[in-house]
Amino acid sequence: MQQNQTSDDQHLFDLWLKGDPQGFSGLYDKYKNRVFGFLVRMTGDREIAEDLLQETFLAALRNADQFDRSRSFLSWLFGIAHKRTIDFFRHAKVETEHKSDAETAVGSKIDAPDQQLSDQNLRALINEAVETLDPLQREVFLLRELGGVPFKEIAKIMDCPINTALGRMRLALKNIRKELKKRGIDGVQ
Amino acid sequence: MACSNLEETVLLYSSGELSEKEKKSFESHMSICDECREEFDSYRREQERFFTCDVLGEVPSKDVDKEILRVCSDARKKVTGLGNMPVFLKKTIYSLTFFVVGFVVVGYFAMNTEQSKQSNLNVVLENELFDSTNNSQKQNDNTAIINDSDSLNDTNRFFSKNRGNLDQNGVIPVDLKNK
Repeated sequence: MQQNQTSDDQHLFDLWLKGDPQGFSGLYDKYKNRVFGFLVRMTGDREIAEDLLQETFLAALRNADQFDRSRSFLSWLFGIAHKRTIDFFRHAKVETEHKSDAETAVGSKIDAPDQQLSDQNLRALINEAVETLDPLQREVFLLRELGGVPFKEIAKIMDCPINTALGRMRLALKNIRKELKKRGIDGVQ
Repeated sequence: MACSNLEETVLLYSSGELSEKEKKSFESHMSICDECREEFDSYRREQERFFTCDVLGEVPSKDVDKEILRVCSDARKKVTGLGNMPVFLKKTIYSLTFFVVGFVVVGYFAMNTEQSKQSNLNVVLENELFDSTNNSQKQNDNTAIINDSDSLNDTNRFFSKNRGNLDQNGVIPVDLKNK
């Protein structure tokens, strides 16, 4: 499955390099939601995330010759998105702050813990739990779960030892579970 | 979790980053350790239900999609022929260009240095030649000055005899005889 995914991406990437618009639009349509989700969660602002999404794909386009074909295209794209996010915070000097009202806003959405959650509610709950994470934990979590980036690559992207990346992921999962429990979701059966 | 060292191994096992040996070792551990197996199962269920693209992803607006596709299509057009070349070919072209430019620049400066050395030598030679010519010229000039002063003295003598002393009167003599 993963192998097919990679070969599909390679094929679209080759089309992209040859200047075939289907190559770019194919890869863009396939991965835009993942990359955009990552950028929205990291910046907390849709408009900024839209700008960064454009910058990410433009940077990928300009540096297409640097893509190492032994890696997955999505991992590479998430590496670029990570750099764009870092640049954004460096230049804008915007401080990422946790939204303190996340907990209060969500509590009222569930009437009973065993209530059947709609997809929309579940989405909101999970994302609110993700937003409460420390930015470094959140980034490792999103790189892994949205980007499917292996931990070895996450460590490289974030310039830290692999054990640090694993430790952050472990804490991220622990904190998400804790937050979900507060909101009435206790594990998945 | 009691198997604290294995918490991270569960993550590496899930992401498929364990070697074959490590993988087999961990699988045999999970067969006897309920805690690790539960942790792995729980994480896998969370990934399937919670941590999916539908839940964590976001959909950009249609306008943004259009704009990005337009901008990226323009940028693609701007990428020149080099953009499609293999990396090793690009590197070769860049290094050759760098070498040629470097060669031209170094050659230009080397030639300039040589020329300036040559012109300095010429200047020294010219100066020496000029000095020697100048000395002989000076000697000639001195002779000429002496001759000139003799001729002036003669003229003065001529006019003073005929129209008075020019030095005392300050009158510009005009030779009316020849007019």
